[in-house]
Amino acid sequence: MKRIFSIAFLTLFSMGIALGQTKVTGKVTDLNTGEPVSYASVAVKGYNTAGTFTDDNGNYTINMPEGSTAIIVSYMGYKTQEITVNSRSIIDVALESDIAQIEETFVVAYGTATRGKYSGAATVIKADKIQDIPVVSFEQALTGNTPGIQIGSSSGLPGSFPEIRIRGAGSINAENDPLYIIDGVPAISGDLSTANTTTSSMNFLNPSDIESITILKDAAAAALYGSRAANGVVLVTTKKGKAGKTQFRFKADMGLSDFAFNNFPLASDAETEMLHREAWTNYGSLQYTGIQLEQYVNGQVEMYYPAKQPEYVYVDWRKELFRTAVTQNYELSVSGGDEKTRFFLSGSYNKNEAVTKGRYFDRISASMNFEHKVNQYITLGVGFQYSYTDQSGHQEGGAAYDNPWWAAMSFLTWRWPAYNADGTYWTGFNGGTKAYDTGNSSYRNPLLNNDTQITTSAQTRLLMKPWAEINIIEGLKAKTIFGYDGIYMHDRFGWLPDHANGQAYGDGFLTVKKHEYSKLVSSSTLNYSKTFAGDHNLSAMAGWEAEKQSNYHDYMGKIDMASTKVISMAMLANVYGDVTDYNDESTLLSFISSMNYNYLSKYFLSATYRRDGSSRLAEKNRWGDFWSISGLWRIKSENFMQDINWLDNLQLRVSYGVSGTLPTSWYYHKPFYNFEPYGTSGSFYISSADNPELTWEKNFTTNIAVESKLFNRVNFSVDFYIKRTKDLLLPATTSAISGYTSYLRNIGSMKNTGVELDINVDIIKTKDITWTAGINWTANKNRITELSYEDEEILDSPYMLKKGYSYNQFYTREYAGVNPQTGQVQFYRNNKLPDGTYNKEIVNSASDANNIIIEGKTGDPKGYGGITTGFRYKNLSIGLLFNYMYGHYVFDQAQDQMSVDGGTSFYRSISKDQLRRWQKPGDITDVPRRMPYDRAGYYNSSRMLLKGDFIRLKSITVSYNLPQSWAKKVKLEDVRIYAAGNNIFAVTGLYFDPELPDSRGFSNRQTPPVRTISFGIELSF
Amino acid sequence: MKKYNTITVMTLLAFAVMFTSCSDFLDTNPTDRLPADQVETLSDAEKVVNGFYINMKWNDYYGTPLMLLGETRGDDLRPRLETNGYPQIYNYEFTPSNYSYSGIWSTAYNVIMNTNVFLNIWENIPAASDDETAQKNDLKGQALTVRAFCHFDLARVYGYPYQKDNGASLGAVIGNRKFNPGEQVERSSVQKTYEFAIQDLTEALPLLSTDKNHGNFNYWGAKGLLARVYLYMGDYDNAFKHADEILTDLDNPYRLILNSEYADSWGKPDSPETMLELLTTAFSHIDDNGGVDSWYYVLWHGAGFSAGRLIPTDAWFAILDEDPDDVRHSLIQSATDEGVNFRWLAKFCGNNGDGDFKINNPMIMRLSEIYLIAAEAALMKPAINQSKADYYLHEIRKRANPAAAQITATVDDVLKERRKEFIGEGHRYFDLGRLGLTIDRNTPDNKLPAGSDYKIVDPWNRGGNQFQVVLPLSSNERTSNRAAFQNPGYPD
Repeated sequence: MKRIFSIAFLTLFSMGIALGQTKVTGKVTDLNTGEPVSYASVAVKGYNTAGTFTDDNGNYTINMPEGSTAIIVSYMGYKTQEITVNSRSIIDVALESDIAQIEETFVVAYGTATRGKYSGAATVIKADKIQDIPVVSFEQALTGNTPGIQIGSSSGLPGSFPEIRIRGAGSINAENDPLYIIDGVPAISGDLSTANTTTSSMNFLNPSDIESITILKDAAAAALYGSRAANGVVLVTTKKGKAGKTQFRFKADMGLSDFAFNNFPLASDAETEMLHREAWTNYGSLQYTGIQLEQYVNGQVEMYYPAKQPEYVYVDWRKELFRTAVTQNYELSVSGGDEKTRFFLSGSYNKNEAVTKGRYFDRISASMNFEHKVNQYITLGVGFQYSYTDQSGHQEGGAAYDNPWWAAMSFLTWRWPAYNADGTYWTGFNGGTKAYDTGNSSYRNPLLNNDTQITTSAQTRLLMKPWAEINIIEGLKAKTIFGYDGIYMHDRFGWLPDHANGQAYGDGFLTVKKHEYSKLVSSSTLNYSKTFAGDHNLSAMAGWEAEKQSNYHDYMGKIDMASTKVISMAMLANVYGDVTDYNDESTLLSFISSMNYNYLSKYFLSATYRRDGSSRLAEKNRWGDFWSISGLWRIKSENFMQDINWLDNLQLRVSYGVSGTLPTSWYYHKPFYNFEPYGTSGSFYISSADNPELTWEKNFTTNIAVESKLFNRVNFSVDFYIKRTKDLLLPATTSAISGYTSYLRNIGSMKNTGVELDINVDIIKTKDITWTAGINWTANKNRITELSYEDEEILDSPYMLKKGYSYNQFYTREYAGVNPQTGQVQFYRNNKLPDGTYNKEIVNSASDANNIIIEGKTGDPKGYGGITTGFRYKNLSIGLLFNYMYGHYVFDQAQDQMSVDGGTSFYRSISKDQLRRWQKPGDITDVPRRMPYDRAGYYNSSRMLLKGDFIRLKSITVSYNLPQSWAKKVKLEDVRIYAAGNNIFAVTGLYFDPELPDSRGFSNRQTPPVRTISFGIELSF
Repeated sequence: MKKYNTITVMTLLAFAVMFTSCSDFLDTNPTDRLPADQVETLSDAEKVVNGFYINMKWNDYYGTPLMLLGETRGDDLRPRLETNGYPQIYNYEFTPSNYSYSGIWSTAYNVIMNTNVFLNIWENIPAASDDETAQKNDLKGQALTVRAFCHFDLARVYGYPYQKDNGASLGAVIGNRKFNPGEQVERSSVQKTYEFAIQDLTEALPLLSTDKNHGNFNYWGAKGLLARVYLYMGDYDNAFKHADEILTDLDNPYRLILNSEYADSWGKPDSPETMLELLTTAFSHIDDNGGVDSWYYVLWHGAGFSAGRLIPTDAWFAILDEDPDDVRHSLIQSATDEGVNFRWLAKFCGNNGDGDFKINNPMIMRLSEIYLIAAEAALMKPAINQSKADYYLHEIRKRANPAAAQITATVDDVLKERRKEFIGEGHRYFDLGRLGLTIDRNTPDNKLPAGSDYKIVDPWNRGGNQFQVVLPLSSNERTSNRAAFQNPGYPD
């Protein structure tokens, strides 16, 4: 009775006061499982502002405005239901899962696409693939995850610059790096550091702030980015807030790093002495015998590999210069919102020691994404990424004692002293009788050099992206986004007075380089989509974009330091070299458009068109057209395929289009006067050529692909592509009478042909156990198809660029092994015969041998890719990722100075391979006899070309979610503990890390990759 | 509905705005360079003219190889050790691909290109007063003089000496206009190259200022160059005429350095007799490497990181030592290296005289040279003027030692004086070359490789096997300009 009264009262109340405001309540559940669905959206049809969400138990309450008739219940992954209220006040809804909708949507150029309905070649990498891998920048975690992407060497120093090649190198002189788009805004990319260290400009993003990465590979996917898209596009989407309960997530991990590979094994102390003794015996026997010989050998060995002196301290250099490095990472994020406003906030602190003592990379970062629905027409949002990074590296490559890695590898023997007895650095060069102190002025203690070298690069970066979206009428939407990317860099490079170079320049040397890079982008697009006659779906987009990049630089250098305690420009006496500041600008103005049409969601046709105008080209060549056309046929949707039950999906994609690459030089199209002081006045002179005819490099890409899903378990896709680069930007030699010896021209063409295969299998799919496995494989073949004239050879040592050969074709002397009778090194002298073939003549001196194209040996892998597997049992999951590469050769620049066969640099360390040297007639070996002054190994030759094949356990992650009941006890929603590691082990024939060489197969003595094992905990509440 | 319209209009407006005035947006310029079409004022033009000299001082032209070609191919300077101090030049190891020293060719043409670009726009430079017109004319005169100077260098480096065959051998590609990249143009003869230089200089003389200006060519510098060109050609009447006119002109702003000033004069720029030196400063070195690629680095044997890799020959010391009181002994110092004593040339001690040899103005022309040109030409011209020759030579000799007695001058005396006076200034080889004299380097102190063909050098290559006395065009130059032929003897 009481209840009836209440209802009656309420009814009267609502009728009388709210006039039609009725309330509906209910519960939303999963049709299959009966479990409640929380955070499902419940909206009133026709009233955008009146919606709500279900709570943790799936319950909702919603006010129905006057005149409303139905509610709409939706949740991602379920079919949306529209339910007519019919004056009911309690409506329970059971949602049916929607397989089609679970098919992911992903970010593409200027919009999103649905998997299976997109005709371009794009790969998506979700956050969970990379989230736990201990890397500074997300780029390093891409390796092996997706076909078509090759990540070249990155130094083992944290934060260093990795080389990313999407479908091979398409350019010779312009950039080969992809374009990076972050949340729709083209970001500044590349290696910007000027502090004698490399740095990736993507270091600023905490990988945990990334929701997904889309890699656009063909023209259909990338051509909308026009004149910058030829090397592929990496689209990064940062994490956004989700409506519902505010979620906190805290993550902390700590890791330990060390070199991932036993690089360049060295002969032991005793072996080294034995090898020295042998070398001097070989040499001495040419003039001495008996006791004389013995005395001579002892003398020489004592000179070049002297016995340890009691007054000095000797060390294992590798232990002394390197360490097990500690990395730490802490993150906190908050995500939440309601149907009108959503937000995501995060902050992180990342601290990485380098394996090289004293070097480091630290980052503080923050990310914020906010959006608000003002009304049914307008939604506003803003994204913010801020970071401060502080990095210290050192010179790499052959920078002698300034690259501790190279110093430890090559110069330092077991018998070089490290310290004096009093603990001070031993600095050698004392005018004594040993090799290390008789006036070898290039010898410096690398411990001292490492301490007295200043290389710091600090960057503050802000990426800001306010945007607005307007629903003008049904189907017509406008979006405008404004992007600002600003990097403030402060680089310092110098040498303290104790450093050898510090003395060369004066009494200590310091340069400060400040840079401000900024990129402003404004783009606005109109989208229209409509379904005609029920079956014809059309969508179109048109818009414009303007972009302006400014690079401001400020340099200053001084010598003569007053103090090494306080190091700043204020504490140095004299200005040295140029003091300058300047600003460069590059602008781009574009019109963009695309059109997608499909019939019955079965036949898809898409076209894109972009017109770019660039400030980097002369007015008459400024505007270029970039376009693509592509089609998709969902064969499985045809009626005749319906009966094939084991085939869940089959589709064919075809695309063709053109994208471009702008010259890296911003002002090459017109002549300029450089300034230089002349006495007390100034001077202007034209020193470099200009070319008003300059235009884009153009990439014409054809892509044909088949995608399929079998037995509801096996996802399979294969892509074939041909990427032709025309109008290559190349410096052409010209007669100096023009005033220049070369100038940049659009000449030549190149072709990349390839296949990409991606297979992923759901082996077990049950509630408690899932097991997936995948393999991807890419084969890319590169050919230079044209240069400026028929037989042109462009030497790019140790490569030769020539028509018909790969961009990475090796060109060096041809090694002919060791003469088994004499132990002498042998090379081929290749004499070209009139018929074009070569007559091979064996010579014993490198200077008699000529450089030649080493047929069949290039830096190009025949194939590369990754193998992944993921296993989950209830709350425990394990992921493994292997990467592999085969069929390529690497050129080991280190070998010529470590395997010197007893040559001139015999006071250096000796690599272990010297134990295989020739010793007596009849020995069959690849290492010549040890003979001082022979310098056999000290010359580049194909002896340094090594098969680079490898497979590596690239990463492993183990993660365990504590049972919810435990977590709840400590008032937490979820507790996850995890362990992750990268570069776990590698199987290879190389004697150094197989990922040390760069993307062209060149190993340039840089700090090798490290293995990091980390442990972490993630709390959600 | 009204609301929709407002939004639509606003959106369309937003789209419309961006298409207006976007042409400027795509024109960008750097801030550390001046667009070539913005050289518009006399002040701009003056800087462009200074730019010619900046390019000439580089370490691939006057800063290093041209001086070396003038010195270490001769008999006054030699490497102290076999392996240092540009032994390839000393040994005449020139080849089109390895040691072509093509920087001389390419830098000279870069300067020529700059002069031609300037001459093309010279007419448009405004000049509002007589003073400005004079200044404007002077700038054109400098451009013509520099162009002539570069052609003269090209002829003497890449062609045989004029007097060998009256300039019949291959000389320079005449750069009388700006060439486009890739243009194929043939080389003219040495004779035509000299003619072109003389024509430019003749045109320049009336335009040039007569004010002293040590870092730029002026009237006197151009006239001195004309005297030098005629001397090389063996036209001694004209050589004498121009040299003598300079020395007898009361407006001539130069005077010889005094004996008392001599030692210190090398440590500072703009001496009273400097007619042209190329200006270097701490912010404008000879190279991009702080000056260590300059040839002054190779000469200097001071403290620290300098080299002392080239030293005077015993033969040169022998003639200097004939007079122990010669002031030029003040430019010689002694040193010891690895137990070996030697004397070295401390002439180029840097613009500040403090031994910072890396900031050192390459000396191109000074009044002493005009004296010795006049003396030599007076003796060589058909109507010998012995008294003038005696006078001019004596002025230099008595400056070196005030006690020196006046002598009856011979050509040999003049040449010997040139050796003593100009060592390190890049003249000796060319002096021997223009006269066709044999160079004797077969001395105990030579550092030539054992089998060297260049122990006795004939700059006229009369035997035919010393073709490396002229430099080759680089193989790149040959490939890219098929019309310009290689010098005889070199592989093509």
